[in-house]
Amino acid sequence: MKKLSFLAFVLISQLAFAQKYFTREGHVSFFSKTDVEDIDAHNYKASTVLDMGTGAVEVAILLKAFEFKKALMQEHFNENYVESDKYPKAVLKAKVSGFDAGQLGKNGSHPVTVIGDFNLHGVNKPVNIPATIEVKDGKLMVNAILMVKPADYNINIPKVVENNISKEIKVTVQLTLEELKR
Amino acid sequence: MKSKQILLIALGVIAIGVVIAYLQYNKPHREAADEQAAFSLSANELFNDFQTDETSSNAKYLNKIIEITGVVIEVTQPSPENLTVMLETGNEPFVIACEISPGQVPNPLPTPGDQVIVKGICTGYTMDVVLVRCSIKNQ
Repeated sequence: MKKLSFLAFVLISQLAFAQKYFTREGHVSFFSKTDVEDIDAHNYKASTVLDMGTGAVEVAILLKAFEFKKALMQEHFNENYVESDKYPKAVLKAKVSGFDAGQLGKNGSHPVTVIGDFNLHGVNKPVNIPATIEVKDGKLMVNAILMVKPADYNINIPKVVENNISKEIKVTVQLTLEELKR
Repeated sequence: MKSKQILLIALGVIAIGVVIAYLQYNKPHREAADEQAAFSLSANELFNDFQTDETSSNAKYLNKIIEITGVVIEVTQPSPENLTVMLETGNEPFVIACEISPGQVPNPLPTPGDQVIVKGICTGYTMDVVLVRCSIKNQ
């Protein structure tokens, strides 16, 4: 029997007739700043589905698809910190409040709140993320910043590099959602 | 005399250590083009494997070099240095998304309908299957 991933199910489910917006190429980046070094990494494959009927949003991010400038850092990130063989993806399951289908018709920017759970490294944490949704010619441009403390997700940073990695990582999310046509 | 020799050896060891650390710190990214493929299959087969059983497919394919044959459905460039080729899976709207390595961007670029062979590192499944550090050639 075929099982759809939850995200796939949300996207193609015919149960709800509400409009769905999605992207398969969301940009998620993170930035760690310390006196020792700045580290940044980018992922352009964050899959996102937003159901305008319920406000439910889901974002799935494959951790192995983060590109670092230094291959060594990428290796440490995957093998030692997020353990991406064991936990290949980070998933945000949340609801958007402050935006509804009535605002889709007109271009404009709207402050919203995204409340839900973020799952990373096998740990689920409630999150409350301020974001903006800009309606632009039928597309939704979503911008959000999330501060993530590795310690909250049981990610252990070894003592030797403790000062190289920030205690709080700034995660930037930029999505351009398009309506799913069917 | 003796202490001078010890000092020279110690300096030599330190120098070697520094060189190794430097090379390690600057080692190049892993490229699919440099390695033998562990699996060779069609875009449909890879997608079906993940859709049927994500956990066992992760165990089988994650981090492995996979060679995929398929048909291009779309080519995108989400950032200047990131060219992505989407392959049909027979399960619309889902795709195999292949990020082409900066050194492997073909000229001319692939266009929708092209029959291609892509070799890349498998990173997992969201609603699409994503490969990175890919090389690509026409079939």
